[in-house]
This record gives sequence, C-alpha cells and structure tokens, in this order.
Amino acid sequence: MPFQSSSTRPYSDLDTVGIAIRWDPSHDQLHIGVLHRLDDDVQLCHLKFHHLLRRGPPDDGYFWADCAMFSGGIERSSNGRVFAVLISETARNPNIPYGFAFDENCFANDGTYRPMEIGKGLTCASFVIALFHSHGYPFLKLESWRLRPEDIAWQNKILDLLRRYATAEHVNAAAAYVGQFRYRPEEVAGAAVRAPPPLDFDESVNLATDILATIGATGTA
Amino acid sequence: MNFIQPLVQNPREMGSPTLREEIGALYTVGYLRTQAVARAGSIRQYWFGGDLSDLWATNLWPFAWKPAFGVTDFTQNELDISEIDLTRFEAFAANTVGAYIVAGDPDSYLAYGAADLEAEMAKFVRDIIKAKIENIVGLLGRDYSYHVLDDAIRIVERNPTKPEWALELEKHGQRRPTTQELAGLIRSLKSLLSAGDFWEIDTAFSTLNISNISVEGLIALLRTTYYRRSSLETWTAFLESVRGELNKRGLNAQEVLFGLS
Repeated sequence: MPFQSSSTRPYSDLDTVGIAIRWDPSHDQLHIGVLHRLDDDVQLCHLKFHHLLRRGPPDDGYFWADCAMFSGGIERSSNGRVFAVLISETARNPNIPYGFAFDENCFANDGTYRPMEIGKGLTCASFVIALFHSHGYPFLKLESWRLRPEDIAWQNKILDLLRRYATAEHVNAAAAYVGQFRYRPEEVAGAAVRAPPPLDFDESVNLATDILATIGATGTA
Repeated sequence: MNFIQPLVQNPREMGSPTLREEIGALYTVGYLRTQAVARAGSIRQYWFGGDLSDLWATNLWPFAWKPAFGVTDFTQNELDISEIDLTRFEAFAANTVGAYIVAGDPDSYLAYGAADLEAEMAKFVRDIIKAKIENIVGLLGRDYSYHVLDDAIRIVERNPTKPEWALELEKHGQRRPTTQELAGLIRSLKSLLSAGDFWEIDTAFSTLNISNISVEGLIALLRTTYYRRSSLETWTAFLESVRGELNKRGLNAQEVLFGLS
C-alpha cells in the first residue's frame, strides 16, 4: 500500500496500525510516527524530541500507509489490534530520551520503557523500530545497516539542538555516539509498511526513494 | 548426606548434583540465579537462587562470605538467621513466600577462598534454606513447590487454582474481545510481570483451555509476556500449544506468531 496524504485518504481508513510521515519544515527534516486504531479512535504515537513522546489525534498533512503485517486477514489484523493497545500503553511514559544509539528491546512487552544508559536514546525513526522490535515485530535487519557520511552531519546538527533541551550529562554522553548508524524516517517508513518483514538496508533504501518522491521531499536533512 | 564435600571443587567440572537435582525430587525448581544488589551503607542484599554451577560462574561476591551460624525460629512471614544478619521470608501473596538474604558489614566477614565460599554457599542453600523451606511448606500444610524468579525464590502451591483473569478470558470464548477487554488483560499481565509474579502466569499458561480463547487473547498473552519468557517455565510450551490451536482453527499460525520463538 503506497503512502497517501491524509487529504487524499483520511486517517479513519486506517485498518489497525500504520505509519505516518511528513516533512517538518521547522526542523528541515522528515518526521515519523505510528498510527494505531482503538475502536473508532485513530491516534498517532511519535517521539517529537527529547522526553517528548506524544500520543494524540494526528495532525493533517501526514502521508500514511497501513502496515501490511497488521492489515488483511484475521492473522494480521488480530496482531494489529493487540499491538495498538500495547502502543497506547507505551505512550503513558513521555520521558523517552533522544539520542543516536539505542537498545533494540528498550520497551518491555507490556509497553514499559526500560531506561537505557545515559547518552543513549531514540530518534523519531528509531522509536518506531524499538516499538515494533520490542514487541516481537522485527521489520528491519538492523545488522545490515550502513553508515553514511551525511548522517554524521545530521547527528551533529541534532546534538546542537539537544543542548537546549537535555542535560549536559546526556548531551555529552550522546556526543560519543555520533557516527552510529542512522535509520532514516523514510527508510523506516518504507520497511515498516511492507510484508513480509524483515527488510534489509538496501531494500529499505529503495523503498525510501519512492516515499521521498511521494512526499515531495528532496532528501532527508 | 554430605552436601558440602562434592562442592569444594568447581561443580561444573565435577558434574556434581546441582541444587535443582538435589531437591528436584521434592520440588519443581525453575532456573536458579543470584543477584547482588547494593544497599545503603555497608549492607548488601543478595537475592538467592540456587543452582550451584550457576553460582560458581556468576562471580558475584566482592568479598568473602561469612559462615552462617544459628538460625532463629521463624514464622511464615519472617525468618532470621542471626550472625550473618540474613534472610527473611516475605509473604508476596496468600500462598506465596520468597526469600532474600541480607549480609551485614562486609568488613566483619571472615576471609574465605572461592572453594570455601562455594562450600559455605552449598551448606547455606542446602542445609538451611532447604530445611526452612521444607519447614514452611510443612507449616503451611499444603503441597508447595519452589518457584525461582530472577531475583528470589518463591514457594507456591503445586496445584493452584486458575487465576481470575484467566477464567474471565476463557468465559469470553472465541469471541473477539473489545479493546477495553484487551487492555484489561494486558494490564493484568503487566502488573504480574512488574511484580515478578511469574508463577501466576505460568499457572494460567498451563491450565488455560485455549480452545476457549480468541485469537487476540492468545496473541496478547504471548506478546505481552514475550520479553520475560525466560522467566516463564511454561512460555515455550504455551507458544506451541497456541500454534497447534491456530492450525486447528485453520489459521496461518506462522503469520499470527510472526517474530515469536
């Protein structure tokens, strides 16, 4: 299922769980979150920034798609219904740190965030990875990831921003992780909606190209 | 029986009986483990597990262990071992007790080599804890078994009744649960996991009539507990039962259980 704008396809069309992505002009980068349905209520769970995990009705302007692994037959939609509840439980704790290195299973299956060591944290994209993988829905082959030089520039930019919102202890420790693999929002979005998972780096990058074209973004900052 | 002698050497090398084997005839014992937890001041607290071959490998003791001396009387809820300032039993629930051990000022400990330490541990575990647990089981007058958690030993009924939430789940049959019912189930499991009350989940997993449970209910049971599956003795068997049940219903079990193993 290709990504479509919420103006073309309303969020109410969501089956159980989906991915939403949009260009964030204020930060000159893409932002990603997880759409999930609880009965008639569609919500977006996303890590806005340091200690800013948010869950609420999605704003207009996102491009979104159902996650194929949670959409279709009873096998998939049943998992989607359960996962949607688990996502809503996860969002009870907003204090997720922002950072470049993370533990794949940093959410317990009951939705509880398990604090990582100081300096580690999630981005909006790695939050999506951690959320899925922690609950036994691995959709990316993390070991296949590769470092790209432009990701370091992005990490340094974020580090500057982080200095305004996080403790010096966290920022200094996070700085040590500059140079970690970056999982870009468009790559995560592409892989998360595809079935059967998991996808590797090359497959995800290919899908990301289509998403960038759909969104009209020229690249991820 | 001399419990100490066979454990003076590395029990892995000797192939000596583990605690599990020693008391396995009497009780069902899960995996056994110890953890050291720093406390305020010079007090250290040791959660006590028992497989001595594991103990040998854990290297948890930063200082030598003082031998355990006299043991005072205890009640169901409390057990004191004097001199070493150790151990009390704690009622977690009406039919569940657990043990932990608190060692006092490390400066006062006698020096022991690793082998002596091992022997002391063996003595402690087998002669004292085992006896006390047996006594407690006797006092409680029920058929209890050990249940070893990440961080404690618990004694539980061998033939417990099915938990309320499990009965409730069965009552709904295969009907699709509402979101609220799913959330309620997940919160019940979450609460048990947070409290380390794995026994109740194990009990449910081993007694649930899964043909009376919806697909969502089965998924919630497995997915919510997946992270702690190593603490749940019945998790893997439950997964396989669910796989069989899904096949019986004509569903694609591989797709339902994707990512779980």
